[in-house]
Amino acid sequence: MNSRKFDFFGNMKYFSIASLVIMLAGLVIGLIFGFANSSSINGQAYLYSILAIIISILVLLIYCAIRHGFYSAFAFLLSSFHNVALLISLVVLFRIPVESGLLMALCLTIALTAVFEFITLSKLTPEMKITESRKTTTNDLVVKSLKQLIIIGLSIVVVLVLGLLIGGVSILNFVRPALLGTIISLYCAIFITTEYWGLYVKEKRKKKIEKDETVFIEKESENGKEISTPENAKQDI
Amino acid sequence: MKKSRTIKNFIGILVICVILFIFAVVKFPLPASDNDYVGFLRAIPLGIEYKGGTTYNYDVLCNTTENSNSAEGIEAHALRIENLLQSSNFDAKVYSSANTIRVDIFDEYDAGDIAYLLNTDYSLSFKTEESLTAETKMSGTDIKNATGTSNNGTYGVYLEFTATGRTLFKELTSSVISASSSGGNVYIYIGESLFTPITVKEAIDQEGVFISGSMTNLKTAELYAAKINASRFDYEFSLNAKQVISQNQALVNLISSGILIITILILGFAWLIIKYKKLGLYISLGVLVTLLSQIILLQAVPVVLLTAPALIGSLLTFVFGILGTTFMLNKMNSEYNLGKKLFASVKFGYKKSFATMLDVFLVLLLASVVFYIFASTMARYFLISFIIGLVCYGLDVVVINLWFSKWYLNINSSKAELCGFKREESVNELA
Repeated sequence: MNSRKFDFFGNMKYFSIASLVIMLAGLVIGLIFGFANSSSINGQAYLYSILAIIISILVLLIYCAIRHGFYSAFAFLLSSFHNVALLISLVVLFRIPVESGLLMALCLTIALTAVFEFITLSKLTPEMKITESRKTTTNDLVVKSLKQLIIIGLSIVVVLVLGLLIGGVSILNFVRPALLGTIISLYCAIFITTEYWGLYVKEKRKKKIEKDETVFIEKESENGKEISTPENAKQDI
Repeated sequence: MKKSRTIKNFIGILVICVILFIFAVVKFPLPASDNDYVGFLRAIPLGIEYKGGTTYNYDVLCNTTENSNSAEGIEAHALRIENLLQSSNFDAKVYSSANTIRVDIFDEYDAGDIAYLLNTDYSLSFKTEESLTAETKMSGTDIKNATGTSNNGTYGVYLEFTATGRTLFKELTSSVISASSSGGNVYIYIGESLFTPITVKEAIDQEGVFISGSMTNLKTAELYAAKINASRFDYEFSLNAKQVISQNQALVNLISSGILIITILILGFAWLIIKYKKLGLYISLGVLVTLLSQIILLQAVPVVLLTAPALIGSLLTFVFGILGTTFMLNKMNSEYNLGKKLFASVKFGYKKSFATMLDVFLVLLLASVVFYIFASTMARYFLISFIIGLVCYGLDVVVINLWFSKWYLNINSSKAELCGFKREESVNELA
């Protein structure tokens, strides 16, 4: 994949605006027409669904924070809210009946949001630790993780589509929102959180360079030499 | 020596897999018994789309304004109706949602309208005489809640009264005592059948009473509690939709799902074997072991019902398993590409991907468990299959894969091309 063809880093705002427009449209349509087939869901079911979403996001948020720190937890929080809101908006816009299938799809969406984040992190973390890789741009780094994300996302989509083709109408109410959820998670991981990760990489590298500089200066001082800062250190951020 | 022992181990595992697979699919009469042995795969309970039968959707209509929209009432009714149908010799499952109740009757293609069964008199009445025509002193609306429980090893139902109910029960027991100083009985009827007589020796003024009787286990006690709870809500059931899934249609669903499963399994195994050659082949054996464990667990866990979404959930976990394995093998390949020897590549590749894979399977599992707690019955069938699959393939990816990879290195520790690993020509092997 040639990373120069499309600059993922720097285009988040356009995709965020697109998401926001869909969410607003979903909100307006939802307020006017409500959910499709919402008579089969009562207040308690709505309450339980909201509780399930909030608690699962909280549990995964704590997990992210413990395992990968504040940046990761914050990224998960933002992207999971984005994904859940976008999925519900699309369910409203496409008039997909609100049934138990939507809850299953929401579960899949939230879990996939975290999965995609961990896959991206697994690609980015080693790169950030290597000082030599400063020559690669943040966009290149982000692109490196995309292949894995696309393979995972597409594999799930293929299983769901095959399930839809074979399972027919009986499975439609589960597969439709699950497909939407998977695509939304993938879309968010590729087009929206990439800029966030770009900033994250930049920040980490900056800290790494500053640390390297301090160590360099300290070493030179210890040796009684004239202190000089490596000028090229900041060039390739 | 190590090599031949490893080969023997692999052959042993393969033989066990074949035996397990045979025992998973066969069905034969057990000697000296009237029962049949049913293989694990056959024993997994199937949803109505694969078994055939009739699905009824009933709208729940409330006759009073009290307790008009309560999920608790509908759930209690669902349990009552399921028991009612089963005691009428129907193989039935009842699911409750907001204002509807879904009744699945398996293997029955023309059960007719069963509303008469659902609307059978379920009212609760407390009487001082053992007669249906006797005056009702208390009813279901005087009960706040009923719970199936055990008290000192005796199973029964704890009835919690409303404020009015407490006063009425006090008056009722007082009247029994005043009629006969040695005490008497209060008769509790559910519909037209006598639930139990209560022996009263003194006037009772309590928030609730524990009633024991013919309840031999907790399940029976909970069922009676559900019947009493149902009587608190005056509901009527009106047929909204009825769908018959014929035996042929169910068979078509089963065959097409079978084709889907086989296609995905073949694609998964073929991917591993083509991309990672012999190493992929041996790792596939690990995946096969996991697949068989998944089947055994699916039939062993009592809450599993293989509906179409549950089947897709199980397949998704298989895909996660294959993707996780691929991720791990790719890491090993990357390490090999850095110039490491095959053994070191496997060791470090596994080490570097372990944390990510653990993260992936744990977050999927955590989200599923949280949703399972709050989900409706239908969603739970998907989630439980998903959880079982995640546990199986999570273990496969983070534990079994390493064992099999290391075992394979006993057979081949130098020829990386047999593992499908590639290294750029410019990279020299590290000493």
